[in-house]
Amino acid sequence: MRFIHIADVHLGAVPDLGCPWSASREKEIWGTFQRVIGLVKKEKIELLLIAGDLFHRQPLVREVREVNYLFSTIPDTQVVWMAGNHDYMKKDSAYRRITWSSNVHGFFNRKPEEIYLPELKTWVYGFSYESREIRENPYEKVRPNGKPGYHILLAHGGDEKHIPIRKEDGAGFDYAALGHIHKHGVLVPDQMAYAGALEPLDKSHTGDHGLIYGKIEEGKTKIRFVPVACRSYLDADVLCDPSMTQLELEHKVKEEIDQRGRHNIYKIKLKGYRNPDMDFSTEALYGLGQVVEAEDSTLPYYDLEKLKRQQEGTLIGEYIRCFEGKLADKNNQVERKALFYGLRALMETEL
Amino acid sequence: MKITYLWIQRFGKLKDREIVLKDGINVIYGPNESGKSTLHSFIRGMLFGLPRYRGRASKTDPYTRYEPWERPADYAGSMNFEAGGKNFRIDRNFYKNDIRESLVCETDGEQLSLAQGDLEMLLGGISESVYDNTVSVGQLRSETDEGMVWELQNYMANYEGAGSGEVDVQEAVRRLKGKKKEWEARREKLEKKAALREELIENRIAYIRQEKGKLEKQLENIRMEREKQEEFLERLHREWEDTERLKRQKAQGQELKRQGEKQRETRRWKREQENLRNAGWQEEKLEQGKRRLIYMVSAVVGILAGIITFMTASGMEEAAALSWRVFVRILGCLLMAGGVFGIVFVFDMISHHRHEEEEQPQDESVRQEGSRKEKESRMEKESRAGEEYGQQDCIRAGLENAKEKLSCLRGREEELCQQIEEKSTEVQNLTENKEDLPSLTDEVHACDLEMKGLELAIETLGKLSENMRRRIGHRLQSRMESILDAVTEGKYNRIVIDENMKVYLWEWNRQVALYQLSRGTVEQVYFALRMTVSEILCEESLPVLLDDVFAMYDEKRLGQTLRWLAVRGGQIVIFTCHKREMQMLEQMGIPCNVIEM
Repeated sequence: MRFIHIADVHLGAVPDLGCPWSASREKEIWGTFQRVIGLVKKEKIELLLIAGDLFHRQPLVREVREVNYLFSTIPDTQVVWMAGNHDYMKKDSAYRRITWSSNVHGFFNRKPEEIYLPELKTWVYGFSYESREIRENPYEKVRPNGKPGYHILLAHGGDEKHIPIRKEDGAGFDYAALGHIHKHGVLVPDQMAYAGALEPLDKSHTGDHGLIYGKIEEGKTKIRFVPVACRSYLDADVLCDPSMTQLELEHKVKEEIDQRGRHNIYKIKLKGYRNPDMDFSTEALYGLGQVVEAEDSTLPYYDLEKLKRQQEGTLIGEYIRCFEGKLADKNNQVERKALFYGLRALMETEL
Repeated sequence: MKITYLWIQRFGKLKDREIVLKDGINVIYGPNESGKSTLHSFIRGMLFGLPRYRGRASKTDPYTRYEPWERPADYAGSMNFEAGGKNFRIDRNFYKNDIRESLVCETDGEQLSLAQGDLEMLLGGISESVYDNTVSVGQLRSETDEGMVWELQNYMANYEGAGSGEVDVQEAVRRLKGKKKEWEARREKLEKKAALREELIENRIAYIRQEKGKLEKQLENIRMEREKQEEFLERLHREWEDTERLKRQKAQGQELKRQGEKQRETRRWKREQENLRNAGWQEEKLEQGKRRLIYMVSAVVGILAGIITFMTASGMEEAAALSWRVFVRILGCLLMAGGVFGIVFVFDMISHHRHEEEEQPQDESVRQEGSRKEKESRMEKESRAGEEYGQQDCIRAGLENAKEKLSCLRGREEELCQQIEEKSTEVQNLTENKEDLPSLTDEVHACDLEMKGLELAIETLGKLSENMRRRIGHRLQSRMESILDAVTEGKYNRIVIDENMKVYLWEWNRQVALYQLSRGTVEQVYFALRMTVSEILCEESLPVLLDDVFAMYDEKRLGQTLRWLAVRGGQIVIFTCHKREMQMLEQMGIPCNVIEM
């Protein structure tokens, strides 16, 4: 049996609100979900597992109808879904208000249940969130029923406020399909994994995003992560040196963006040293591509030891001395900043 | 640095004069107007040149002041001095049309450049103003005691600025503050950006709320309509039950007629259907009823009017014209005849219409919908006419129609409710989105970090320069105290310098402000201060030039001061118009080089 496991699609989310690409990102999330359904159809996948947070918020009836329509286009695939903490199952949830296509099976209650799929001889275990938070761990008590067939756990959570799932909770199941953690990750190889958000949803979601493709054969499960997101958030570190000018920096950043793909969204960080007499303008970097963040963490190029020796006894020397010993600790960022700001001001006004 | 030899070609009243100065104390003695101060100015001119002012000020500038009356081209001289173990010579020609200057190291014959600041280097980087303020000590220029105190105070304050070294701390701090403002502005911009994002969502929420409002209004209308329809249905239902009862009663008595009735019933049912498809039929009924009533009334009125007219005619006076009476009578007859005809017409119409109703219901079918009241009145009439079966069918059809309409309304109502609920969910979702907006804390935090760094820099600089000032202040204070102690023989050995660089002395156990002291003592404080500052500011020890400094000193303090100077060492040049300095030095056995002007 072959299955696809997705989670945290967050339909309806609007990433990077205020950025020029925000609106198209909202559509792209729907687009990628459709692509997954297309993939399921094309590959004739037998089971589609959705481990919660299909919607970013409470879904609207028309939105659920759209989703149901998409599911109805893959009638040969069994779809099992649950509601997560974002789209949790309210009493009047839109999830409850539509008639689902016959191949779709949802968990509608907070009480753990088993859904049996006779076509696939598969049992899926799970439940839905009925509130934003669940602090206890009901998965502890969910165990395979021992009947012949495959046993799959569909679960959502992984932190203190949202069911602290442990590795042991997946024991005994052929596969535990997890959701909630947005970064893809395998807890137990081929046994228990987070699919991660289908599309990255904010700038902290660097790295690949996509789905888990799995196969259960003769009681053995194999899974593989398949990236399907249309864009990535990428860290772009630019190493600067004291001779670098603003325009040179801009060229370098643009080159980097061109090389790694203009469709991606970048977090730029300037590292290394800069000429003590200049500040880079990070504002200018935002215009060079889809840049969501630009941070300058370069240090002015001073030879502090030499400077201290040269300026011994003067105010500048004294000033350096004030911060001595505080710079070794990387956490003393304020001191570091103060040293360089003060030093620069003093050197500039030196008579 | 020591000045060893001066040669004056022509300078003010001095001409062709050689002066040899030695290490230790030199006393230049001469009565007033003998050229002591001119000599003092000559030394200064040799070191820093003679400034020339432009315009009117040129009449009193040092150049003009010391320009020789005769042979101005000889306005020149030279000075030999020793510094760093080497001998140097400065030659200057001050004459405005032939300005020349040179600095030569006589030890190794090297030509140095005055223009490039080689002399300043030899003097230990000392500037003209520092020279004026330190080593070259004159009397306090003020005439009054008060002015003198002020002058000393001012001197102290200026000294404070010079004390912090070679960086301009204030300017540095100003720049740092400027930088901080820049970051503050950036932070504000970020906050604005955050507000803008919220506004985006709020606008969307407002729009959805508006839509929701519209839907709610629609719902209200539909609900009202639905309630009316329900009422109507209820009434129909009651009527239905009434006729049902009636029907049961009649059914017993009318067994025989059933056959015929049945036929009529089918016909009527058909007609009812038609009627219901277009209930305007009732409207027509109303119109006709009204019309009949009008005919009837006007007919009766006609008859009455006829009778009245006739009666009036018979009661008319004989006097009235016969023709007039006949006319009125004929009119009365006509009116009565019209009335009777009208009544006959109306009755005929009713019977005709009833017949028509039965035979051709289709004729009336293309009409507008009628009011319930009319329907009821018709039903009543019909029930009176004993046509219960037809009426019941009509009610049944009405019921069905009303039910259908009601369910339609209910469906619409439900749909609207759902739409409104969806809007509520949307609003709620957006509100949550707004609350969950990824805050710009990272960016704001970065700004805060920069600002904190800048604040710390400003603070540290402030503290440092304060420390440095205090340290120098402390050095200044303790050195001044030791000098003053020596000069006043221990009478004043404690000085207080406050944060505004105001100076107080301690006498026994009380603090004495400068203005409370005698002029002589203030001069001594001034002397101590200048001596101290020259020590602190001048790297190279320079000759101390004391121009008539001791005039206000008493014998005792003069003795103490001279002793202190002898111990201090270095080259000292005392300009005086009194002999007492020489005598006192001789008495104390301190060697000195006396030059008489």
